[in-house]
Amino acid sequence: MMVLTRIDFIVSVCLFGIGLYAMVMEPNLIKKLIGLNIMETSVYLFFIAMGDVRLGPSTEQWAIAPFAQNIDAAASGKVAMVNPIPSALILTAIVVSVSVTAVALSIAIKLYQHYGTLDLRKMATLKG
Amino acid sequence: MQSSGSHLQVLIPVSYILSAFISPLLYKWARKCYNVLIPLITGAIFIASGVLFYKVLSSPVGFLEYFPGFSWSGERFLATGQPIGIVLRTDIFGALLVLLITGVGFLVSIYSFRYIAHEASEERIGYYYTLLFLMLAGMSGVPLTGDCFNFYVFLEVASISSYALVAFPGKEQSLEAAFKYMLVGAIGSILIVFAIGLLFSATGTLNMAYASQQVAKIVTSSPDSPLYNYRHLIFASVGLFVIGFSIKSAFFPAHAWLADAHPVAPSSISAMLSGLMIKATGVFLLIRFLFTVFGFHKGYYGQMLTPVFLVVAVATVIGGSLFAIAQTNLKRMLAYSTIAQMGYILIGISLLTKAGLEGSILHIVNHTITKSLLFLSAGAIIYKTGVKDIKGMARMGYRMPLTMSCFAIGAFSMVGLPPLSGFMSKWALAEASLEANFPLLVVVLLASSLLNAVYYFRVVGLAFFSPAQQGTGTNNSAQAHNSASESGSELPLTMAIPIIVLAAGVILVGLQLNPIMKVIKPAVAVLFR
Amino acid sequence: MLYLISTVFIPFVIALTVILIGERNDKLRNVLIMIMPFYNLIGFLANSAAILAGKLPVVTIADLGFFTITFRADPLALLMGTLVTFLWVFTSSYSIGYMQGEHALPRYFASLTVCLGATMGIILAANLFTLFLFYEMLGFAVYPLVIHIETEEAFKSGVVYLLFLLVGGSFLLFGIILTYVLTKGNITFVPGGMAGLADGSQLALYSLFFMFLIGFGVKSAIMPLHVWLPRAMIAPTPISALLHAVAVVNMGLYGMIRMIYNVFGPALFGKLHLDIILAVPACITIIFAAIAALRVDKIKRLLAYSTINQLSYVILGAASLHAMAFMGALVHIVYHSVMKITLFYSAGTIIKQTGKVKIKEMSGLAKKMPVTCAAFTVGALGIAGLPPIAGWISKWYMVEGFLKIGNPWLASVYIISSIIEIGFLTPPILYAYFGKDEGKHSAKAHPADSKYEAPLDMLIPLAVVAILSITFGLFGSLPFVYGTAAVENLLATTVTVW
Repeated sequence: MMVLTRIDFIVSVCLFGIGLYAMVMEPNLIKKLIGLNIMETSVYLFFIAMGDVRLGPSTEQWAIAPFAQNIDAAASGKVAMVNPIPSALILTAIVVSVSVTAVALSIAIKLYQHYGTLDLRKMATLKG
Repeated sequence: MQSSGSHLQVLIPVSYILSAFISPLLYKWARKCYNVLIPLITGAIFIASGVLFYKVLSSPVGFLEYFPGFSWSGERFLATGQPIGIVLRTDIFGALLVLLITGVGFLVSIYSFRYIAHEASEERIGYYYTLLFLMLAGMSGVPLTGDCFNFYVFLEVASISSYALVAFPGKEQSLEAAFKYMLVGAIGSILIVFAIGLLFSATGTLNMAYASQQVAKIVTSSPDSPLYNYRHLIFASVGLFVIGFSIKSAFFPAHAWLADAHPVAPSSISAMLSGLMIKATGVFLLIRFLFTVFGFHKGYYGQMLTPVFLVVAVATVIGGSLFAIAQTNLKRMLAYSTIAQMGYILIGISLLTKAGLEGSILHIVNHTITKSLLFLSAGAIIYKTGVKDIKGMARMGYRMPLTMSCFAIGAFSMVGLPPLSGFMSKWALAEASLEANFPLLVVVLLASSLLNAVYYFRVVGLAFFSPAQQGTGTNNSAQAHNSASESGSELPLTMAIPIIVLAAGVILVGLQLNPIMKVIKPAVAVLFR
Repeated sequence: MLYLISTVFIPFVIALTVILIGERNDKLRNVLIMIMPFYNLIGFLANSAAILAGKLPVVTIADLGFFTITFRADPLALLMGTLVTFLWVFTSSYSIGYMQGEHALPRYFASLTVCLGATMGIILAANLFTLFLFYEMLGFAVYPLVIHIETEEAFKSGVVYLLFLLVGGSFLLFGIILTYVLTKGNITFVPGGMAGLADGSQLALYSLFFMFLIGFGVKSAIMPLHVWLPRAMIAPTPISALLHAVAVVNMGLYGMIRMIYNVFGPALFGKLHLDIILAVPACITIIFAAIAALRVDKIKRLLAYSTINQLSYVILGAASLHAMAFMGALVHIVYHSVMKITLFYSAGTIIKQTGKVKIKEMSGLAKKMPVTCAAFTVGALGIAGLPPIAGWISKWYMVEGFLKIGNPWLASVYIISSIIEIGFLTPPILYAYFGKDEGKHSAKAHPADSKYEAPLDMLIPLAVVAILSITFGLFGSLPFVYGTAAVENLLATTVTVW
């Protein structure tokens, strides 16, 4: 698997795991949200790393499919430009995740006002 | 290729977004005609989507492509044939879903005036409509678009506003459910973005149509081709998409959030979430990616998906039905019933045949109408009598005959009694599974119909056939509430009309199946292209 | 044909009207309820010549995409339709008398009328789906009638009833879907069986038969699917009569016959040896229901087991695929219905007037209720097969048919069962005529203690059906005319009966 040869991809998967762990296992609402943000960061890292073209598409250590590049440049292995699309996508994704976090935090504040705690285990009013 | 699109493809979500921001202002400045303006807006959008639907149907290729904005060079394609920029590509299935979304959105926007004033407070109606319109904008945007990242943005717009809407009543329960819903929804969204990233890195494009060509090239490539290495990315992308959409559509192991979030939301929102949200952001996209983008029906991937999906689907159907039987709260029961019905839809998808997909789409249409009807009726009961428990439904058929009759129609359709719409889609699914040589699936469908009958008939039976002396006196809070609002007609007109329209829809879809199949068949043909 | 189709739908309109009238105008309601079966009966009688000549067109009233709602009338439909509408006249008038002063009457009469419409729909159905649609509708319309008295026990019986209804319906639906796939969407009834079924695999065909057997077996009370029928005795007596004699179980038999002759067709049915397979549960039901009836102490329960026993006679006769026996089975449906309705009306009159429900309590009743007890005697002896009351003729035909196809053991089942029937049907008569009046009456006793005989609107239907039981046995030829036509139509042979 070539994914394993890229350190940035491995890091992003690790971050994803850490974030997921925090989100699922931590009882504290704020820590859950931090986990959520870590997960989102891992996705940003993955996208940004994808746009990297230092190694060129013709080698084993590809980053992005040759379709996206200028075919002539790709054939000669001289792709000089970082692919801008992932960066643009990530700008949008950041906006999205900020709004998710904002809504989540405001709900967390409301929950704190109601229960006086941020521990999800102590507020379970919903029956399974 | 020429731009064949219609401006309506942009106008529908954009006008929802605009009205979302106008709504609180209107409420502040024009409170008197607010009740007229909002249905006017949603009604106009509904008509617009009807026009769009007609245009898509009459287009020779079965879809419309619209390029918003402009390109500097006037070029829409690179020399390699790759499209530039975002494209809005609406096929028949998408247009059908948009029609459903705007239609139910129209009815819910009428229904909500009185109901939200009852559930939350009257001052917040302006903000309620902001969120509702944002959700509608997101949901209607998803089926309209042909771009992988664009759909994600719409999906998030819809999701975020739905989190806020679940929390809207501001009670402990709704806040907690909203938080849980948000956590699970966010995990699903992140998985989907990850999958988009993998797809992008394999194909180098976000355009669904173009990506599907590249996917076909990659998965059919021979082992010595350089493209062969990208297969792993495609497989990983498929896996993440499937998991992400399964979370969004509440398939079996990831179903718990739905049973928490849908019942505690205001009933109008429960109807939107159960009826539309899980379809627009879950099943619709699953179908879109499996068929349009990854081309599962072409047999590139062998049969690896069918057994996995069938196990999940059967577990969802049976598990959802069994949990629904155990419920004491009416809306919670309806939510579990939704989970079971999503399993039906998955059965049709997992067969990967045309007949199966036709059954699934028919069931999507039916379930949207029927479940909206059931949740709106449940809301009407809460509005009028305050009864939320199934036990409190005793003799409700005599207190609210109109609402309970409509509820009964919906319940019968869910159980699958002929000739209501639910029977037709179950018939289509059963026929498709027999044709695909899965006779056991028919057993599952029938068994789950029986389970559905158990919990729906319990409610209908209590409402119409319970002894007179038991119905009164057991539910004190309901009694107190009831005496306060007993005077006057059964329901305000703005709440009764949507319920009646939806009930008529349930009957009509059953009786007028031919025109509907005339839409669904080409829709599936476009998806299978 | 339009007239006949209107007999399906006008009852629904009437039912809606009855609900809208509510408790406000009892007289108008009673008039509507009385007119309805007459309207339907006239429809069948007026069209009988056309139906026998095969002149009535097939009419599709709605296209539902996968299938159509289509009606047509063949001789079998004529036979059943005439029988059902004719007996419905008595059901209506007896109901009006019996239910006077009860609660929830609009619901009761609306459900009853919906039952009529649904039954007409089943009878006139031209394809499997139409039959299924109205078959289920009939099942659901009976539910409010079963739980009418709204006691705990009634609701429990209602749940059992619904359970059997839904399970049976599911199997039936599975069978229909399977047929639909095997025949590639052509599920119209054809004499001689549906084309395309013969190409199906053995497994598919046997499972298809199994589905239909359970689907129709619930309503025709094949053991062990009979459980709901004695339980549904909790319903008011006119409804018991409706279940047992008029509509519900007869529709089960009707479905069974349609399955044998119009879905599989006699040729395929015989080729798969389904006639023998179906004979086994039918024989078991005949014998065991008769034995079970021996141990019962309530009148209505006794009648219920007797019905279960008699229904399997019909199934056995129909499954034999022999013209004579099939004819006997068709005529037996008619005779059994007339006699069973007599029995139920007399039992209902006894229950209503004296509150007595057990056989032993009937002691010495003949002196106080002579007409009712005489009617009961006629019905009981007829069911047991005593000439000259109707029952023996049809049994004779069936036995002769079995002997002709060389199945004496089937004939012996009939003989054994008839002996047991005498064993359980005579005690009530003996008690009524020769038992001592113990003078104990339950709370429901009539104020004028010595006069128990029922009011005229109950007594007249009772007397009429009792007299019919005898006259049919002596010189009733109408069932034979219709029956011959039905046999000729379904078996495609000419029949000489006289």
